[in-house]
Amino acid sequence: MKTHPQIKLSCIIDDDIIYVNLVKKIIRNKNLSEKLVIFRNGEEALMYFKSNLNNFPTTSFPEIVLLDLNMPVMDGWEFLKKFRKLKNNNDFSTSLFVVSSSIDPYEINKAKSDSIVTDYLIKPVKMDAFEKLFRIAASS
Amino acid sequence: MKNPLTHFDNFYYQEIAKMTAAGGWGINFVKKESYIDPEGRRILNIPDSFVPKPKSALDFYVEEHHEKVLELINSCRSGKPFTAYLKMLTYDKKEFWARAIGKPLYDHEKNIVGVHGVFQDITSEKLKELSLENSLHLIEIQNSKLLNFAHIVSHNLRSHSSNLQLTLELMNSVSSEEERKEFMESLDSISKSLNDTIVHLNEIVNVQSKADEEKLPVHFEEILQQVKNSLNQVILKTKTEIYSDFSLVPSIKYIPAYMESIFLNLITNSIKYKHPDRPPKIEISTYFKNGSDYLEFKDNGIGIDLELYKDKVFTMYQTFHKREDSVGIGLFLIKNQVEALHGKISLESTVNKGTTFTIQFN
Repeated sequence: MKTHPQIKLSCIIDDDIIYVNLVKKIIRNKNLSEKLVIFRNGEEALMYFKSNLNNFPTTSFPEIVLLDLNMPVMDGWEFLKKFRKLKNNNDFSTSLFVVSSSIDPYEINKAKSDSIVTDYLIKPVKMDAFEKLFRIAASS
Repeated sequence: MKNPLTHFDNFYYQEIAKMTAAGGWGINFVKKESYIDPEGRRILNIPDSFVPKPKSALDFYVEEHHEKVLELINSCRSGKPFTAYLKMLTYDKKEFWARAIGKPLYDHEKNIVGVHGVFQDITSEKLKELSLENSLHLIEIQNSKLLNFAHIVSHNLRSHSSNLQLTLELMNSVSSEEERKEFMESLDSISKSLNDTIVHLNEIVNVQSKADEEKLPVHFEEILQQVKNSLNQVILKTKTEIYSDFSLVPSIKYIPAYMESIFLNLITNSIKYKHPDRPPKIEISTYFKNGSDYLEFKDNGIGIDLELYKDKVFTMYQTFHKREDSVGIGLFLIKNQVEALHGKISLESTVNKGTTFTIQFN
């Protein structure tokens, strides 16, 4: 039996279409979130966040963000910088997880020490691990 | 019997001096005299008729070491002995490396009246040391390149293996034939992208192995014609205009395949990132500056914001524009090719105006 989702809206920022489709399936199959928004790079996501904030609080805001690092146009690092500004100036709570294929210790430490990053996950992320992320986000 | 070692002109002294290629020297500032012993004269190739003077001492050192020599002599005059490694010059102006030892010269009343010492020709040792340092430096560069490459390989393969794992995990719980088919399609595209990645990685590895191939005279005009032919369709379709002027440097010695790759990738790049309001115009030229040959590609495309992306332009799989056909391999590849032959590539760009790539060969 499927559990009732506690997350209303989640967000994936990643340019790997195959990966995004797989995560989409997991979220649907496990009923982890009611709605899901997908962006292929940081810029698209940022535009969405900004326009959504203008309508705040009428529109709901993603409670969980899965962010890739290596992306075209605006990569994950640049997005984090801009997202932090946005978060400093506005009142919203979002759990942000960096999900990347990079095992470079420098990148991992840099991401983990960022105060707006909840955690860093190295791909591949197992199905149970995804469930856990959504549980953490729902309870925070 | 006299102690043989206290006399300069004795057999042992002369043999030791020859065996170690060590010459003696001295300057007396009070008497305004200087002397060089027979082995010193041999090392410096000084003719018998030459009478050394304190003033001419500096002539036996290369100019860049003059300041250092004066400092050493001056501090020696105030009582401080020295051991130094210096580049010296023979009488007939041949450079060699020497280890020089200097000590204050005292008169009978224990006043310092000059400086004297020994210098030894250590050119062969020094050259070995320098070549060793050079190899070490080269190895360090290679090592960091390899590590970088290992990171690229790891990252690129990991993203596919991770998709593969996820797909298989999800396939365990398929409920319909339709869903199973979807996953099979996903497996298919993973296998395709994995294959693409391996092809790209192979190209990079080939850059290094090809760099040892023989360089041949490469004529820029010929390469341009070849590349234009292979891009004929896309050039016509996009109404691309290509102007070239190779009159200043018509040809250089290079690896032909690399030159072709440079032209192909930079022209393709200009066409791919053309400005939506105007057909692409590419100006290609060569010139010679400060002992190096240069090749320049200038376009009128959309340009790139270098303040944001300067460090990333030549990075593998880095793309900046929302285009389906952006792969992020071309510029990374030609940077590797140019650098494998000890050249440099750089760019200048203004958003909405265009981009200029400059390649400096060796």
